[in-house]
Amino acid sequence: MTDRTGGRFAAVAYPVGLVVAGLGALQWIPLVTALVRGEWTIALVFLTGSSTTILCGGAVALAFARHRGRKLGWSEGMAVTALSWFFGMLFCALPYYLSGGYLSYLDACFDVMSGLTTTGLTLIQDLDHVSDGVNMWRHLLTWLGGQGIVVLALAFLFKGTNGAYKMYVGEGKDERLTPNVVNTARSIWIISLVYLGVGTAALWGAGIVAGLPPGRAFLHGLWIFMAAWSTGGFAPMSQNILYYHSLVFEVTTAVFFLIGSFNFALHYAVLSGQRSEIRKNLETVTFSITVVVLTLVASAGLMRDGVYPDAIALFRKGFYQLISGHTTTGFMTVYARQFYHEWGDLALFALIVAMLLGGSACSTAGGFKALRVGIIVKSFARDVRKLGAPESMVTVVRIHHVRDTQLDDASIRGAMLIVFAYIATFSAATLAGMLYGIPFAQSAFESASVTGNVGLSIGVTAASMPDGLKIVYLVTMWLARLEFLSILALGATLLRNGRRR
Amino acid sequence: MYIIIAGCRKVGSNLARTLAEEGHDVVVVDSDEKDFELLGSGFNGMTLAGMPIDEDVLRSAGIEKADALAAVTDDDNMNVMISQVARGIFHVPNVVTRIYDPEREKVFRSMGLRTLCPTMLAVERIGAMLTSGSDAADGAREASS
Amino acid sequence: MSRASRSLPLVLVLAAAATTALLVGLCTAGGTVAASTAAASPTAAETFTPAPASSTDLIENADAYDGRTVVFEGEAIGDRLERGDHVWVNVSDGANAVGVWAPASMLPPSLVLGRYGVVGDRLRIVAVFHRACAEHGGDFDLHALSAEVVSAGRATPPPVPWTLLVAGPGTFLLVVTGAVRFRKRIRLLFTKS
Repeated sequence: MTDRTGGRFAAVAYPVGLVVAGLGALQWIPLVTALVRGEWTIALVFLTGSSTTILCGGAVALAFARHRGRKLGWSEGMAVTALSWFFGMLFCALPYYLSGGYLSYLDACFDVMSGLTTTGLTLIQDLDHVSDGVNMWRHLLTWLGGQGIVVLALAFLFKGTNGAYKMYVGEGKDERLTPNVVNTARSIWIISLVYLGVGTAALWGAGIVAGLPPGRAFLHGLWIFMAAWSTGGFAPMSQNILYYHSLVFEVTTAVFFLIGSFNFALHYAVLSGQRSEIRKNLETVTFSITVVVLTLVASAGLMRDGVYPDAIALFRKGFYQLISGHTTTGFMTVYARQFYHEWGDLALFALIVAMLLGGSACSTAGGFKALRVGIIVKSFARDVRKLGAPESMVTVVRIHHVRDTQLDDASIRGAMLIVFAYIATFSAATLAGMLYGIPFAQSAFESASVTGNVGLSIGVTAASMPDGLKIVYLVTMWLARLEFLSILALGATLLRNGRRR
Repeated sequence: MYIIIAGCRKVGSNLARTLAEEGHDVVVVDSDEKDFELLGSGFNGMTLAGMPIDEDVLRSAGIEKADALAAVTDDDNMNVMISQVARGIFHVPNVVTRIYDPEREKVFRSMGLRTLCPTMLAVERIGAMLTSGSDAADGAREASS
Repeated sequence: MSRASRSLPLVLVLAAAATTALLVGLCTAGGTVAASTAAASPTAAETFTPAPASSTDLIENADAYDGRTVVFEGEAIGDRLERGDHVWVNVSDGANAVGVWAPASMLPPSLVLGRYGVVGDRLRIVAVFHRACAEHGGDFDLHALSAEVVSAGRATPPPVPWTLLVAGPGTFLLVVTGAVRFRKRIRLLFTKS
């Protein structure tokens, strides 16, 4: 038998191998797309990528299959998630790199991580001439990453539920739509698939209104929906959403990325008949307030400097980028450098704060998450109220999130810790940017964008940026998407094993 | 299946774990939060601290959509009450009640509850093991543990 | 305290904020429109011969170019988006693509558009540049006065590298043999333990 350390990794290797093999099988979707569109080279690229990924993942899964029944502890369950993302990134980058659209394998990995974490920054070369097959893969990755690749595996791939909850928490979601997380994972995917149908149809229509021929409108509709729902921010053309020059298209995308940024528990509650939840939920209330306040700040800044000529422009440029940033989507209707040249400090500040605050917990969005912000504000208000109250008075904080609950110190502490981790990561990434000579405001903007998994860019992210900074951003996206814990758990496990030798 | 388990002691916690691993949606309700430690780490189901006879508690546990309920707290009276609430008010299709006291079990069974009396089960099994001394009874014991 | 009374302040704050936003928006919107039309009125810039400008020039010095006539050269890409008697065509000069708004007859449907495996028509466009176009919801765009095709687009079928021709079917064959060889153990993976 293997020693304890070997055993620990053996138990982790099996599910990771299975997830990787699953990602290989999914490459058949772009493969078929390429075949249908007659892109023979791209079809070969995906055949190679898919087969290589299945071979490697499958071999590992088979080799360690006998460890499948072993119980996974917390650190192992979380390591499964962190490692699935890491190896998934390495293998999903293979077709990107083979397609010739990237200058280096690191660039390809960066784009996979950006896609899976639903960030939306891209280093791809000459996007306007990229094949439909590769575009399908880009948007598929961002869509899968939004729900979570481990959630996907839990829902459809893994048999038995050993360690399921630990892996699920490791992927940055901790709410249950149903008591069993396997059923929760299935519900998440069912909700997403239903919206995929609705959203693609709506954006297909919007694309035709914008003037796209029906065939192209369908593909663009599908892709833009995938990027909107997962609050990803990829688009098939280099101008992103500006390409369509259409108010109808912009509003339709905004509706879907807004819906995508809602908590899956909220979706589930509303879809199962609790309509009033939208008004009462602490998270939607917090999100509405921050959106309104930040919109006011950004608008004040943009109007003071006379950046946009009228209210319509202010809506389509100012509000659109703000809400796109706040939901951590990252769709853009301006050029990256316009932020720097035109927006002014006040509006940029509002946008940076919006990107850091982010959308809802247990959604496809990133950032601090509105639920945590709401909890912290409420508990802070309680402490202030306590100061003025008699010492013997017992105060409790009640919040409404799907059901009424009483806040305990543990959940307040949890919310604060994660928010603190986000702020620390944001600061570190900003510092890294400045070390590479990027001015403070631009570094802070780009760093907020990677920390919140947003994808808006002020022009720092480009294939020409230093490799070191690419790695910093890549790791930041990974940490932020998985909400730190699983990667820290992985690090702790590795460290402990290293020390024991 | 959506299953609610009232009581999280030895039987409740093991039952909950087994059912959750089989892929069922399990909610465990217990008035004492400490009892949930028996579930072990990473229990793949939901726990809810509160009196299981409280209708609001049962409602938050999702009793309205539950397919089955097991009343396995240590208190016979409590179990009976939970079962009556579940059947009478929430119309849960399948309710199982554990009652230690054989006399009371007979009464409640005659009232239409689906009951189980571990005392009588143990009496029968141990009696069989003592008198027959056969392996069959031992095997049965091992399978049930 | 009832739930309604607790959420009331929130609703009030929201409502107040929304109204202020609307009011401020409406008031200042009127003001800025007037200001921008004044700025867009013909100035000395109009008398210059149109200067060639790249997309980077336009983005980096948008204020200086705003409202001026420029010459922009690049490849028509993507789609020809028809809007009544006008069209949008996005033209890329390699660094960025910029939206060009033109009468439909100026950029006819025969235009070759760049996409995968196709290099689009290379256009030289004389156009008025808008940093934030009032007519098009603040878009960064070019309103074409004239357009000519400098070099015609063409199909550029991508090569099929022999390495991929070997690697694709080769690795696929390995997957198939592996799947057949280990089918029993694979089936075991997908049954409940």
